[in-house]
This record gives sequence, structure tokens and C-alpha cells, in this order.
Amino acid sequence: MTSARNVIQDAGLREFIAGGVSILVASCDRDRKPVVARACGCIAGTDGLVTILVPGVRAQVLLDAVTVTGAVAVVFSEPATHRSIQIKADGASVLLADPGWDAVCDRYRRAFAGELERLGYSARMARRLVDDEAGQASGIRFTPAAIFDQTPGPRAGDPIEVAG
Amino acid sequence: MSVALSSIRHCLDGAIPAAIATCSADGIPNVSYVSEVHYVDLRHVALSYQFFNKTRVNVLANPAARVLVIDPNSGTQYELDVAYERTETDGPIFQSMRVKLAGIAAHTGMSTVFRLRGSDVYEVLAVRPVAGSGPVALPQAPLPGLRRLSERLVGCGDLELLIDALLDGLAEALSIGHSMLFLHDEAAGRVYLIGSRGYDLTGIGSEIPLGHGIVGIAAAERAPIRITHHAEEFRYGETIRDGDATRIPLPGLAHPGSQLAIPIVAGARLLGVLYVESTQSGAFGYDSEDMLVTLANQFAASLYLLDDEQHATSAPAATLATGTATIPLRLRYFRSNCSVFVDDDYLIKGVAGAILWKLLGEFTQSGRSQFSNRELRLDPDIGLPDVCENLEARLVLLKRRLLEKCSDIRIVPVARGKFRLDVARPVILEIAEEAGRGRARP
Repeated sequence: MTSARNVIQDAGLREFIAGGVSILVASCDRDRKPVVARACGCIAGTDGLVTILVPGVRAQVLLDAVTVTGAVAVVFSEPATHRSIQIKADGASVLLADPGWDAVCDRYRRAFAGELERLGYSARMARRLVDDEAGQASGIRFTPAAIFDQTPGPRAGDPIEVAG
Repeated sequence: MSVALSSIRHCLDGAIPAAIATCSADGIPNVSYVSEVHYVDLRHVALSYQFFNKTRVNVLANPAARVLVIDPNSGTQYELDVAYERTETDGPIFQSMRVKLAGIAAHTGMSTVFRLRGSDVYEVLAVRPVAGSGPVALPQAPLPGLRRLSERLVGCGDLELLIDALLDGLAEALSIGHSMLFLHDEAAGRVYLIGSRGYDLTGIGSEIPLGHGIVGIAAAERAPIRITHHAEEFRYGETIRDGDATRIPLPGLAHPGSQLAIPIVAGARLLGVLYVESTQSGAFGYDSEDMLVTLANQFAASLYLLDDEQHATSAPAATLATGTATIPLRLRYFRSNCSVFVDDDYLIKGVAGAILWKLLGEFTQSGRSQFSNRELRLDPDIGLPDVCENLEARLVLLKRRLLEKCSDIRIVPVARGKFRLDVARPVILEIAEEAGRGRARP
């Protein structure tokens, strides 16, 4: 737990997960059935807390599962480089919409859609992927329990550690 | 709302990576990107297994998983409830995925990282669009073009017409401008090119061993093989320089963005391979594959119905002015592989080479120029491998090679199962000494 908290307090990593990367969030219900949804923003606090913003309508089943089990796995991936990390946590909680999140979501949409367009995807497709009605985002907040390298290759799955 | 798996196949082609969520036996979720989701049938998909990772550990313990895919055109997301069934490490599904992954890897700059270890086959329990993620808009297959081409094939009374109708029809009815048609040489374990469109060189008579490249794999596995992005190791269009004088260069695009090879089969028997390619990435989707499999099946049935004693319905070629030139043609024959060289240029080998040598021998000894398919089939010197061997295909191959390489000799159909040999110059026939021709293959 301490190790993961240290990692998330690394400024470079916080910048990575709060930038224009692809974010997918998974959880599972009591029957161990997995669910997954695409996120529309991330807030990485200096206190080690991570808040993932998800579109409320699209991610309702995911939010229900997190409410019940509190278990989450989030993968952050940079499309151009495939650099990817996965954060796992238990005890995650679901937060209702906060007015300050609209600006976070807007910034994320622009950054991520821009990334996809640079890779040749159509602007229409890129925006639809991350679009949501303003004020509809819900939050999933947690303290990371473990962080793994998930960049494709032989080191995929290795835990990420930092000194201190 | 649920949708049929078959209607979202275009979302499985890896234009945007899919994701899979799994859950461990003790309830810890995991989410991971998947390089390749392969449509197997109406109820199954196969996911690429490249690294032993948490996803794999989880599905072996708890087979329930959820896959998230994205429509590359509209951005609409679909979720698939799936259950892990088995892993395949060889066979048509694996080979098809292995080749396609090479294209995806090259496209994403991961050629040195991606290697398929297995195809994880999942049963698909449900497919749903993610609420609010976009319109459920499905692509339409170009059925009118397929129908037009299919009707064109129906009217063909001989093999040459059938070959040309297929290749011309692909370009005209389906806008597929680069195509090659190969027929199977069962005895040699190879396919040979009998017709092509869209290249500077026709490549008639060039060969591909079974199992080699996308065409050879499609032939060996009797399965369609499709690449949606450029994959350097699977492109054709490059002569292999190995000193074999009888090798005819294969045509092919220098930088294909998409490739598709469809085996032509009748029952368990391989008759040939239809290969198409495009400079564009993603030019051939699952619908193109369905269309060309349907066409290949019709072509196979048509081929089977044409017997060797067919009507000569091709437009008759003009008669050559026999024997008017004085400079003789020197033809050499190598018994070891039945290859024929005109002066020093390779012309043909194998069964077609033996046929030509037989015809020229009769022509020079007795002046005879009319022959029948039946006598060739019964001739022990030609040695057709078995009753299934398609003599007509060898005659078409020979006729086309002569047109390209030796226009002074021509084969002209004259009646049902009969043809005439026209020779415009005196010919000198030599049986070559085999010593020193180490690379000529039987």
C-alpha cells in the first residue's frame, strides 16, 4: 500500500494519468462478473487519492458494481507509445457529480481527442468516444493499492516501485 | 437491446484496440487491451494471447469476461459478455490470427513485441451497444456487385472464360483492382498463378509452395487469411533470387495496405487460391471476406463442372503463318523437371512442360498439329498425377505462357476437347544434359 501511494505521489506519473491518455475502468459484482467502462477524466491528487471520472449514463453498471464491491482496476494507456500502467484498489467509493469536474472533463476530451486525431482517427469518432453531457460525470475515488507496468512486452505485469 | 455478433464484425478488426475485463477467483478485477479480436462464428470470438498475464490467470480460474469494442466509423461502443472456452495453438483460427496480428503489429510499431502464442476462444453470451455511446449504424455489404459478378460466372463455358470473368468482375463489379488467381498442383504441393489483374507483370506460371506467405497459408489451412494493415513479411511482388532459372517472378504491390487470400475448395479438395490486395489499409473487412468466399465457392463448383471435354467457346485465335520465318527456334528440354527453355529463356515446366514437349515432338516428327485432350490424359509420357488432375488448367497455363514468352508457338482450341498447335518458325528440339543444372527442381 505504501509503495503504491509513493508511486502516485510521483509528479511525472500523476501528469501521465491526468493527461490525454486512454482510461478504462473495470470492477466486478458480487458474482465475480467483470464490468468495464471508458472514463472521461482523471484527478490525481498530491494526497495520493485518485478520482476517475466516468460518464454517468454509460458507466451506470460499473458504478453499481463499485458501490457493492469497492474493487477497481484502471488502465491508463498512451495511444502513440503504448506506454500503459494499471492501478488496482479496493475500498473505492462512488461520488456524485461535482461542478468542478466539468472543466476536468473538457480538458481531458480535448487532449485525448487530439491524441487520436494525431494518430489518424477521425475527429468525429474521437469526440464521440469521450463525449458526455456536461454535469453528468460521476467519480470513483480510491487510494491505489498496487501499480503495474502494462506496456506490451515481457515486463507487462511487473509492479512499479519508486524509492522513498 | 442486443445485437448480433455478426453485425459488429467490423468493430473487431483492430482499428481501435479492444479491452477485456476479467475477475480473479478472489474478486479482484483486471482490465487489459487486446491486440486482436477474431470473429470465429455467430457465437464465438478468439482473442490473441501474446503474454502470460493477469487476464490469462483470471480466465483460467473464472471464465466470465467482458470485452469492450469500438466501431471505428462511428465511435459507438459495444460490450460483449463472453466465457473462456479453450486455447488453440495451431490450425485455421490460429494461423489466420497470427498473420493478421503481423499487420496490426506493423501498423502500431510493435513488430518486435507482438507474437501470437495462442488463440483464446470465448463463447459470446450477449452483445449490447453501450447506452448513450452513439448510433447503432451497421455497414451494408455490396450485394448488388456480388450478384452481378455471380451472374457473370454462370455464363462461362470454359476455364479461360471463367478465370477472366472472375478477375475482370472483381475489378468491375466490386472495385477490387489487384487480384491473382492460383490453381493447385497437388503432386508438387504448390499453387501456380493462372491469371492476375492490376500489375505490370502478369506472373503467369509463378508458384507458391503450400504454407508459404498469406496465399500458401490460406491453401494449407483451407482458411481465409486477411491482413488489414501493411505487414512487410507477407507482401509479394519481389523476386526471390536463388539462382533457380525456372522461377517466374510473382506480381504484387510494393506496399500493400490490405491483403486477403481465399482458398478455393470443393469438399476436402483444394482447387486453388484467390488473392486480392489494396494499397489502402482496412480495405477488406469481414464482409469482403464473406463475399469472396461465396464467389470462391461458386468458382470451385463451376471448375468442377467443366470437364476436360468441354466445348471450345473461347474466341479462336488468329492462325499463325506456319513456317514462314527461316531462323529456327531452339527449344531445350530438361527431363528431371520437364522444363522447357526457348533459346536460353525459361518457358514452362512440370505437366505443362511435358505436354508442350509431347506436342512439339509429334509436330516435328510427323507434321501432326491436331490433338485431343483425351490422348494427352492417357499419355504415359506426360504422367498426369491422378484422375483428379485438371488437364484443362495445364493447357490454359501453357497457352498463356506461350502468348507471353514465345508467340511463334500457339495453342488454338478448335472443337470440343480438341486443339491445334500452330508453329510459325522451324523448331530445333534438344534434350538437355542435366549436369550443372543443380537448381532446376522436379
